[in-house]
Amino acid sequence: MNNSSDPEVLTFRNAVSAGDHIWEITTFPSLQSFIEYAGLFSWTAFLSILVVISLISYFIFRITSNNLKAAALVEQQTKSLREYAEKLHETQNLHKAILENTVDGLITINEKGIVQSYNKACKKIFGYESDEVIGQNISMLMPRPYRQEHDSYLKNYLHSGKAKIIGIGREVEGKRKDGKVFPIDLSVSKVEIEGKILFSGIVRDITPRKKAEKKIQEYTEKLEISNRDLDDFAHIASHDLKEPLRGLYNYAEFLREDYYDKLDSEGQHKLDTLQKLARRMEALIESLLDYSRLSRIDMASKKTDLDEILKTVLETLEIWLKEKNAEVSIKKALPSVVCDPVKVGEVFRNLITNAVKYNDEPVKKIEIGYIKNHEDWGDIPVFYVKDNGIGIAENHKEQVFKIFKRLHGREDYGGGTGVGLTIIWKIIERHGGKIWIEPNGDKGTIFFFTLRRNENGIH
Amino acid sequence: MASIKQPIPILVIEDSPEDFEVLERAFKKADFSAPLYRCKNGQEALDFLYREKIFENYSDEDPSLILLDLNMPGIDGHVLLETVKDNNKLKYIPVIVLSTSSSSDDVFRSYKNGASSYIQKPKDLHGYVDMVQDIKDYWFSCCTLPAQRRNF
Repeated sequence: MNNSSDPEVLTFRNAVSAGDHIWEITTFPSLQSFIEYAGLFSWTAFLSILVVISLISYFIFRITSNNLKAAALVEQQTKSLREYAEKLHETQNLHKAILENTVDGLITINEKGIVQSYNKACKKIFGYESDEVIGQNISMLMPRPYRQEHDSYLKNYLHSGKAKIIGIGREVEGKRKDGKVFPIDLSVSKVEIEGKILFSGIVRDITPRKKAEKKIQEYTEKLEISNRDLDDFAHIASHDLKEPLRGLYNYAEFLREDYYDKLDSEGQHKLDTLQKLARRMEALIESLLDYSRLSRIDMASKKTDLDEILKTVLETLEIWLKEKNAEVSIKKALPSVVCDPVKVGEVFRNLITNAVKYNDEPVKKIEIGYIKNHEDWGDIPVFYVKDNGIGIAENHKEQVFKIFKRLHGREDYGGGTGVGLTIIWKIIERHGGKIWIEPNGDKGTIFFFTLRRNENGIH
Repeated sequence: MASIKQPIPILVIEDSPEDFEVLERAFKKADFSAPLYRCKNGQEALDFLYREKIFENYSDEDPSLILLDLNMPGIDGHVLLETVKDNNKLKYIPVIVLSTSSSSDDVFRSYKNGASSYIQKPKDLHGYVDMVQDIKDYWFSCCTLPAQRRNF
C-alpha cells in the first residue's frame, strides 16, 4: 500500500504471481469513495478472494497439464529408445552370428598384430580355442618365415603404406595348433574406427583345393606322357611291323615267280589273296604312320591364300573328277588364313574325293565355299564342302572320324583304309579348329570346318 | 657312255636276309651281273673293308659301290658311313644309302656324312628291279667310277 501525493486519492498496488504470469493489481480509490464504499468492503473482499481462487485454480490446472504432457513425452522417448536398443542388439547379434558362423575364418588384429576377434571357423581351421588366441600376437598362427617377419611387415606397412597382402589377398601358409603347416587363402582389409586401425583377415583352408590341383597336374603330366608314348609307339611299331610284312609280300612274290605255273587255280587264288592281304595290311600301317606323324610334327603356320590352294588341289584331281562325272563349284573365292598350306590342301583333297567316292548320282555335284559371319564362330571363317552323295546317318556322324572305321564294305565305294577323315580331323584339331557334319537337305552331306580356335569359347 | 668291262663287286650292308634276297633277285632280273658281297652288320662291314678277322686273306679288291642299310644292330649305317668317309683309303668309294626310313633327319645326316645318294627301299620286288636298273644305268653307264686304288 502506497500513499499518493494527493491526500484525497489513495493508491493500492499489489502483485500476485499465478500461472506463468505476474498479475499486478492497482486500485485508486479516493478517500471520499473509500469512505463511501466502506460498507461494500465485504463484497470487495469476497470478489478479491474469488479472483485469487480462480487464478490459483488456473495455475494448478496449468501445472498439472504440463506434467502430464512431460510424462507422455518421456514415456514415448523411452519407448523408442528401448526399441532402438533392441534393434541394435538384434543387429549386433546377427552380425556376431554371421561372423561367428561363416565358413571362412575371420580374424581381426590391431595395429600391433594382437588378435581382437577370432571366429568359430578359425577354431576349426587352426585348432586353437578363441581364448587361446585373442590377446596374442597373430604370428602364432603362422609358420616360419612369416612368423618372424609379420611384426616388421606390419610396422613397415603402417609406416610406408606398402602392402603385400592387404587389399590384395594371396596364398600363404598357416600353422595349426598341432604344428601342421597348411596352405591358406588369405585376404586382409584395413578398417579404421574412431582413429583406431584394425586389420580383418578372411582365412580359407585350401588344402583340399591344393590337393585337387596337384592331382590334376599329375594326371595331366601322366596323360601327356602316355600320349607321347602312344605316338612313339605307333611310329615305332608301324616301322617295325612294315619290314616283316614287306618280306612276307616279297616272298609271296618269289613263290608266284618260281611256282605259279606249278599251282592249280585254287592255289593261285590263295597266293593272290595272301598278297592282297599283305598289301592291305601295309596300307593300314602306312595310314597309322601318317596319322601318328601328324601328332608328332609341328604344323606350319603361314598366311595362305586358300583359293589358290583349292585350285591347285582341283587341278591335280581334274582328270579323275572328269572320269567320275563330278562337278565342283566354288561358291565364293576362299579367303586367306593362317594355316599349314600343305595339310589344309590335304583336307580339301580328302573331302572332295570322299564327296565323289560316296556318291551314286549320275552327276556328282560338289560345292565349296565358306560362311563369313557364322553365329557360333563370328569372324572365323567356316569352310564347307557340300555334296549330293549318299549322306551320313545321324548315328554315324561321330564314327566316321574314328581311325580305320568304314561304314561300308572294304571293296565298296572304291575301298580305302578308313583313315582319311581321321587324318582330316587330326589336321583340323592341330589347327585348333573343329569339323562337323550336317545333312545337305535330304540328299548328301555338308562337311563344315574351321582352322582356328574359337576365342569366344562356344566350341 | 662307257660300257661295263668286267664285273666289279658291290658291297651290300644289310641285316635283313629277306631284303638281301629281294635285292639279289632284283639284280638277276635286271640282268646286272656285278657280284654282290654281303655283310650282315656294320662291324662285319668294317672287318671286310679293313681286311681283318675272317676277311684277312680276301682279295685286295675294293667294292666299286657300297649299298648301305641304316637301321642295323650294333654299328648302324650312320656310324659306318662316318667311319668310311673318315678313312682316307676308303672314302673314295661311293656309298648309296638304302633305307626304309623317310625321316628327313636320316636323309640329311646321310648326305652330310658323305653319302652319294639316298634311296628309300622300294615296296616290292618290282620296285627293287626298277631301282637296280636305275643304279646300273646311272653308276655303271652314265658315271665313271674311280679305278681301284687300294694299297694296303
